[in-house]
Amino acid sequence: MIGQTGEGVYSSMREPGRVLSRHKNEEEPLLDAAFLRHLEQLQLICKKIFLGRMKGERRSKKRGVSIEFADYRDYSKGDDLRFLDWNIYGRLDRLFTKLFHEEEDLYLYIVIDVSGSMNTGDPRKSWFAKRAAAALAYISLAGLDRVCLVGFSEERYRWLQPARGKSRIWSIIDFLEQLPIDGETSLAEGCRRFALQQSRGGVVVLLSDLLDPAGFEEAFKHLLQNRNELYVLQILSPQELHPDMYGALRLLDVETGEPVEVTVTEELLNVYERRLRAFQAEITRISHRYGIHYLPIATDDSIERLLTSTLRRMGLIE
Amino acid sequence: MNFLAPFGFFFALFLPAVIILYLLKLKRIDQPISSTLLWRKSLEDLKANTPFQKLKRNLLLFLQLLIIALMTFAIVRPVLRLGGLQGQSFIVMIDASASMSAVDVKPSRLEAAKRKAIELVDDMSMGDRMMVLSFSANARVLTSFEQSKAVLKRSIRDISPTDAGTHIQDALRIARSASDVAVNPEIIVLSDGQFVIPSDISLGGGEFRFVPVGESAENVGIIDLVVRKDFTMEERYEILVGIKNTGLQEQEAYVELWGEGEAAPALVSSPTENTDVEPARALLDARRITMAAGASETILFKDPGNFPEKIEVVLDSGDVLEADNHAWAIVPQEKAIDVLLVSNGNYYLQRVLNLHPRVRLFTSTPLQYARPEEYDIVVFDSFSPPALIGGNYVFINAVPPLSDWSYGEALQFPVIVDWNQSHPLNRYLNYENLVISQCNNIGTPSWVDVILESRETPLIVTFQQEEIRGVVTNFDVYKSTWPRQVSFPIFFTNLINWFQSSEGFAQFMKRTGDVLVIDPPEDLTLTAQLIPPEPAGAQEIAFSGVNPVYFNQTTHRGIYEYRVGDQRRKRYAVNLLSPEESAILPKTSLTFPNTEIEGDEDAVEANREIWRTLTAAALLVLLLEWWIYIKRARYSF
Repeated sequence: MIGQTGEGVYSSMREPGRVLSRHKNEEEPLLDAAFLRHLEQLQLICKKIFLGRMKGERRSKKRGVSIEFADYRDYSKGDDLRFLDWNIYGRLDRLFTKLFHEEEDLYLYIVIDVSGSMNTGDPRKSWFAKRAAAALAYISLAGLDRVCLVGFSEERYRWLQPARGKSRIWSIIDFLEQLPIDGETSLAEGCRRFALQQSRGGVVVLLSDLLDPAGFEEAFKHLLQNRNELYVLQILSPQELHPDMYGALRLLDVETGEPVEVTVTEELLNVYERRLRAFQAEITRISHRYGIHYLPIATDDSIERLLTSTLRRMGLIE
Repeated sequence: MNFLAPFGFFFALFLPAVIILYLLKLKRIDQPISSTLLWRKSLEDLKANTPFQKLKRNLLLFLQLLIIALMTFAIVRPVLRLGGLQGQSFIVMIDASASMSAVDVKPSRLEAAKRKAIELVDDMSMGDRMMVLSFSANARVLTSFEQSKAVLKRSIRDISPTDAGTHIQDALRIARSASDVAVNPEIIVLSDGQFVIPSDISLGGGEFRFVPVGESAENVGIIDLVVRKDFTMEERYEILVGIKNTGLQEQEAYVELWGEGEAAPALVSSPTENTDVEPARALLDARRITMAAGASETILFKDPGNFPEKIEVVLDSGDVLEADNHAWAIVPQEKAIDVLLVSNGNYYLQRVLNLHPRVRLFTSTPLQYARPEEYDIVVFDSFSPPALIGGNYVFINAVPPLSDWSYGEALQFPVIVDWNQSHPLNRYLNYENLVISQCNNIGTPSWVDVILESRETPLIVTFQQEEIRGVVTNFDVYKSTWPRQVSFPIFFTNLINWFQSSEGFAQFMKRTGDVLVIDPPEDLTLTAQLIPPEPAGAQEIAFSGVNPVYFNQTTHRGIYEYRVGDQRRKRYAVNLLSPEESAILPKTSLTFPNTEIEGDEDAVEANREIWRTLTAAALLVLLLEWWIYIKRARYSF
């Protein structure tokens, strides 16, 4: 398979069978300094309130130590005397303990589809996914949240332990860079394993092309466990959105090697694009049903605009 | 448009073959893509499509079908009638016979034919070759297969008209043998078609085209000219002129008889001595004749006194063919005939020999017999010399002293059973009343000519043995009734004429294309020349030993003169005298034993094969198809 070596990536749809070197963008670091500075101004928003492990910048459901008052309760032995409300004791002569909203850290899970199909396109889908993942991870780390990365395909499942603190961005980038892109897609299986391993809820961002013959709905259900807030970014290459080919072809699936003989004509291209739109409409429909944030992205879109504009509009980032 | 190889249309079977290949073995280019999921579903949506609709939109298929169609057309070798030649080897046969001198097309038929031939040369394609033949009495190869147009044109322009008849056989044989070895041969005959095609000639392979030349049929021509002795014993000549109107309309013409030179005297010692003075030309006689279309007429000119040596007959009709309006005749200058009678006295023989006006009779006894070479004829009466030298001899009641001759016992009253009526010696006579009382039983060689025959033995025979020519009469004229019969003087007149016959008229009267046999002069050191009529110049003749020279360049009518040194030896009158050539109506087709060739005036508009063009077009389409294929492979996939 093409993706196994990590090299020899098929990327240009116009030059069949030609093995190109990596796309020029891939020579660039996943994140550069200017981009990082820009990212620092962004932070994740979480619409739900999750239990954090450490005190972070997030308001926690737990009542804890912070400056934001939450409630009172009766004092019981062992409570911290510092949080007794002496004013009420003076008025009512009863001991009440002040309860505050505890500010906790947020868990961001970035789940990346690393199957062979992600290794196509110009710009390559996997590169786009990794860069987006790195950017999101950085934003998250900068906001003192915890970031957990998962890469999966049918054979592969890699998990990067939740990391916290900006300094961990390099280990995340290392992880991303060393993440091999090959194998068949099995969205449902990968997401099931993730759900089993995930101990705390948080924001889950799925980066995938969703081109799984078995479908995507089951995978969405797995990712929605633990009251996760799910963002699905469907990454497609321009060649998938608007195929630019013609003539008698034998289309080979890069994952399965399965051939499909087609004679590409204008008519067939029209049918294909109708099919693609129907596919995306189906995803949108299911996403609405489960309250999932769905965003189709083309790999030739600017990743900066994605982060600063599109995701901001969706409410993932502010 | 014609097809030279219509079976080549089978090549068109490749057309469905290509379509089948497109249906069955469509070679697809492998194209890796991220996922076939959507394509599979798209194809299901497209299932209604049929392969034929797809074929319709495939440019490459159309180009390939076009290539095969072009190749098919090239293989069937279509020919277009274009203004030019087709093929590769042309054999152009140009008729240069007398009838081609007719001026019914300007400037003449031959010039028109030459012009057409030059147009053919101009229309030759690159790589074509042409062979040029001219034919009249015989065929001449002017160029063998030649590609250079300049050379071809020069040799065509060099063709000059002749006054000879047309014998196409030689030219056809040359052309056929040339076409056997040529590539894609085509024989083109430029002629008025006035010739006879022999029945053993058939057309071989290759194209054959006939380009008729000429328009008019109106012509009056001299088709015969005979100089002969009067039927009476008088030494008078008479001239018979045969004239024919070969046209389609009544014609009026004057026939003029012109004389030139001295009158032929009855007794002149030798014609070779009076030469070189060109005497004046004088009109001897003239007749006006009116001839219906197709009619022939014979005009007899009697000798008023003595005809001059050179006679010219002029037909003044103003027609388009000049070649048959003149004819010449040479009236032989006859000399005295010296006859030696070797006899012990024979009154009858002496009388009968003296009857001939040209005979100078000498007599001698057998004992005095000597020097026979001084006499033209030696007559032996009941005597045979011991040996003979070359000459003319008559043996009466004796046999020549040669091997195979024997003289047997006497025979009484032989019964005459037959005589050879066709022999010149027997002209105008019969032997019915001849009674011979005694003859001899003789033995003769088997090759003698028997003139008069009895049941037992030949009575009169003639023989020729090398230089010896003779007549043997196997009985004594005294022992027969012959001297008192009318056949006796006639026989001896015939006999003297027969001995002189080798000097007859035939050798002076020739037709164009005939061969002149020229005997070498005694003194080979003298310059021998043959002077043809104008415009050709004198030709020197080189003899080798005593063999005669055969001169066959008698292509023009007129007087041919043979001179040795300063002296004129002999003159030949060469005339056309050909009814075929005089009939100038151009033929519209040629009839061969196995086929009929229709004449095609526009032969210059020739068939041109276009397979090269088609093949080149197919190649171009092939390149285009390849280019489109490559272009698609690079940019569209």
